[in-house]
Amino acid sequence: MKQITVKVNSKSIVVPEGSTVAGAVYMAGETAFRKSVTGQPRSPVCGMGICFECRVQIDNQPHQRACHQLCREGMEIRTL
Amino acid sequence: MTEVVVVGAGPAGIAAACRAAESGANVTLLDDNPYLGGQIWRYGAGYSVPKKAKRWFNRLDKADVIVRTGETVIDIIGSAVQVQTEADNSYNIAFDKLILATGSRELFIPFPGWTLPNVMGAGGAQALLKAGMPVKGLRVVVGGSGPLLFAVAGNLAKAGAKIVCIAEQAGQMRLAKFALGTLRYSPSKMLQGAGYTWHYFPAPYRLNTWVKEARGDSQVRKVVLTDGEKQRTEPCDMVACAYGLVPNVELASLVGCKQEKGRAVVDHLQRTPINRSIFCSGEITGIGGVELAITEGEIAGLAAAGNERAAKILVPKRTKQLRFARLLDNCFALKDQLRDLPTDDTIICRCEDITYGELKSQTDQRSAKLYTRCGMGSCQGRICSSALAYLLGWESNSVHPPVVPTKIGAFLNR
Repeated sequence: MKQITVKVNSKSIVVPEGSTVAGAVYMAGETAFRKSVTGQPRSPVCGMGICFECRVQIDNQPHQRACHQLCREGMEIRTL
Repeated sequence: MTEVVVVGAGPAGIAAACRAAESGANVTLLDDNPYLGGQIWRYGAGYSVPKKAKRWFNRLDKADVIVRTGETVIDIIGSAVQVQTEADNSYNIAFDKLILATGSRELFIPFPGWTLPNVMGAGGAQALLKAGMPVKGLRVVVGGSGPLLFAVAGNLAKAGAKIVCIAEQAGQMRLAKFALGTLRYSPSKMLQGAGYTWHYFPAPYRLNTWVKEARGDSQVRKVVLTDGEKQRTEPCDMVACAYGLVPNVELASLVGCKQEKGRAVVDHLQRTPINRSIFCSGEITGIGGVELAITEGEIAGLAAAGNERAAKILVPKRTKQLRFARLLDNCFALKDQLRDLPTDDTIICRCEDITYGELKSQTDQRSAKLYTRCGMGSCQGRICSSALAYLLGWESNSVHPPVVPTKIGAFLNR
């Protein structure tokens, strides 16, 4: 399977092609994806695009659902 | 030629699209996920397409269907759907017939600590696993209700997780009834269930038990399980917990489709009574499993393409499969004690961080929304309003377009 490289909080991660951003964030060892409006760390709940708890910054775009986007070569992902 | 638009590419949507296209209609199939298959036929980087799904995927390949994944229907305007693309612009597709096959989501009953990282849904854990979440060596408590818990525990264990236990809120009597009913109506499901057990053996399947609380710091570290009287604490690294499924009826609500118990009401050909050009198929009409969803999709696809005779032939099959749906409803009915799970400081609305204490003094969803912002965040109440419908009996929020958060640009870049 083809591998691609993405960055999660500046750390380079190699993932199989077809992985979602959520998969890459977990593979990078992160458990907290975003901060809630009162500052609590949160991680994905539904895994299917409903709950919006998996939001991360992707290539400088905030509030992207990590479970709904596939990794692309060179993608820069930021949590919290 | 009849223009048919199908929203949702799970089993119901794929079956509908195939049948409609094979009957000569022009078909567009849309799904907001990057992959086809919906939840039950989900595949991903390390997970191949399930065997049964393959047959339908091949059929879809051969049928002349325009497939658009990663695109979200945000509104239905007259006889057109407005679609938001991944590039954040939008366009309209006109339809003669619209088939809504939007599936279901999990029901979460908030409990103290459910907002901690690594506490997720049961189906949620399954979906994330297929998306590449590593679970090797993690201790996982699987909880909630329904036959999905077997599959989730089985798949997590297969991927190297250590299942601490499965906590099923239903009691022995109901489970025995379910087992007998399944043997009678759908013996193949029984074999499937037994297959999963093999993987997580010897993890205990605790009946009449539920997750009362999750504790931790930067993530969950342990859970408190209870049977309503005794409590036990189990250390763990992950909790996969949900209490069955609720239909995704937002688009159906938008067109004024009648609903009963949160399900879209349809006639024998899956048409909505308010608009016979709009059909609903699969779990949007009630939770009944993949076989029923396929049959409903086939009926809607055939009927939408004008092939009503062929559609009617499938009606008795659906009636038979509905028995399994009723069995599910009866056997996994939720215990009243679960309503006591949230405490006053348990967050109910995860988008706006609104606690149960703040909400209890409100009279309905609307006042909660106006006074506390409950349900006004990114998920637009999809998680909290289902929970509040269960906890306080509140009717669901009214639905307004766009049905999911949409960038202003999507309206400008048309």
